[in-house]
Amino acid sequence: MSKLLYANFFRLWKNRLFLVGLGFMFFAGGFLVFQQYRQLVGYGTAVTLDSTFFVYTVIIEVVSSIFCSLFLNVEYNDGTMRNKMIAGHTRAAIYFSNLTANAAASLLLCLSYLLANIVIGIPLIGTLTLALDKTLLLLLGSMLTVLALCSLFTMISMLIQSKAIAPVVCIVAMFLSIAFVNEVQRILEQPKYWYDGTLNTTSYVDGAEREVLELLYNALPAGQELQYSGRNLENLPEMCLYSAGITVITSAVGVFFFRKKEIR
Amino acid sequence: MTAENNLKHQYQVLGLPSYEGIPELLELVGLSSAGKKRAKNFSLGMRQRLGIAVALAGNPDFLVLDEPTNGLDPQGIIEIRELLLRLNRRHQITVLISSHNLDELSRLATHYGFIAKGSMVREIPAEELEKSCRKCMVLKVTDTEALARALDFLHLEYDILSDTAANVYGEIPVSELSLALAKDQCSILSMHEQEETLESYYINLVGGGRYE
Repeated sequence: MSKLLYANFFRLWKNRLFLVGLGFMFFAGGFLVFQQYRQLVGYGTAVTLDSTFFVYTVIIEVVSSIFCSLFLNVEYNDGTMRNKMIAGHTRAAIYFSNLTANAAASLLLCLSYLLANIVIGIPLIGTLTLALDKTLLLLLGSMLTVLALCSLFTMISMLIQSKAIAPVVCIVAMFLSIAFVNEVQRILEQPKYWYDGTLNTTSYVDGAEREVLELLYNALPAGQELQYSGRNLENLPEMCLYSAGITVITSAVGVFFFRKKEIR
Repeated sequence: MTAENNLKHQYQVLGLPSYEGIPELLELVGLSSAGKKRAKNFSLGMRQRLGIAVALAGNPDFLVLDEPTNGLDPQGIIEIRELLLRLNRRHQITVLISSHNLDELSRLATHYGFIAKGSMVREIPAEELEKSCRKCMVLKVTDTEALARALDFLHLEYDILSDTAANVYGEIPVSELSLALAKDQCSILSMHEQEETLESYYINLVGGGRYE
């Protein structure tokens, strides 16, 4: 598998989409910081690096869905997938080397954003006010979620041979997921009482329905990334477990069906 | 990626220790001036040649090509053909070509295998196939034994197909043959020229009964 990893990373560094992605994430990180700086200078608003530092978690969902699917699917188009099998590599090795490349690429894209925040953000608006241990926990948790997302996109891209369909499925799934968790968040954030604390609001959801919504909010990668972007550590252990579970399950399913797939 | 990087990628997949031989490979397939050009900007013929270069990356003794000239213009077909002949004759590489382009195969192949409905129906060397497909005169006579005697006397090559039919190869002295057959009480019922092409050989083989 080391040969496959070496080949994948060689291709990654030559990949224009990856290089554009790195540039885009760096630009996004710098742009958001600069917007905060404008608030500080223009309106005297108290701003901190905290408000932009974890926004990459939301951006990476979309960027990763585009990149992972296009990066892998070109292998079907160019016959590289078959080349690797003819060279004697097992399907499992091909699958996991592709997953590793996708994960590494997505993590590097996140780091590009963080680098911009640090390099541009600290001189302009100062350092993070969040405690170091919480920062590290948020980073770790969000990276686990990125890994879960990569596993999901890898599974889709390795099983759908069409270069047109796989990216569409990944991107649409991602946007639907984002829209869904935004709605779930809106529902969960409905207050229990009216502002004067006397009467229950009708829009508050409780009981089994609330539990299901909370489960979905914590289990879905989009929901997790939304919580990390808001610096919410409340459900961190649960979310990490869900991410690990998604990674394992999607990888197992992906390898299982990839082994049976007819490669043309 | 560029053509050169595509080859480097294949070298890495194969686990080859260095990139030695890449310039020579590009030159072999006629892409030495296109090494730095991105493969997505290649013409179809160039892509086919790059594909062959990638397949040659591990110094194989045996190459399997699936429709290598599909979609190519005549110039591209000629280039691929010459490349394959070069690989076989100079570099001792055996090439298995799967193709529907019978005319192109007839200029390349040394052995043929005909497949129909998933089964190999005939394997035949090129020389034998050429013999089967050469121009001949099909004679229908009343007595092929008499015909055989007359043809032997005239030193003509022939194949007896049945009790009444035979293929005769070469220039036939029709008058002499007719007189010889008449002496033996044998009549010529019909005579027509036939040239078997590879296409008609294939159709006869798979489409309408066995070719004997």
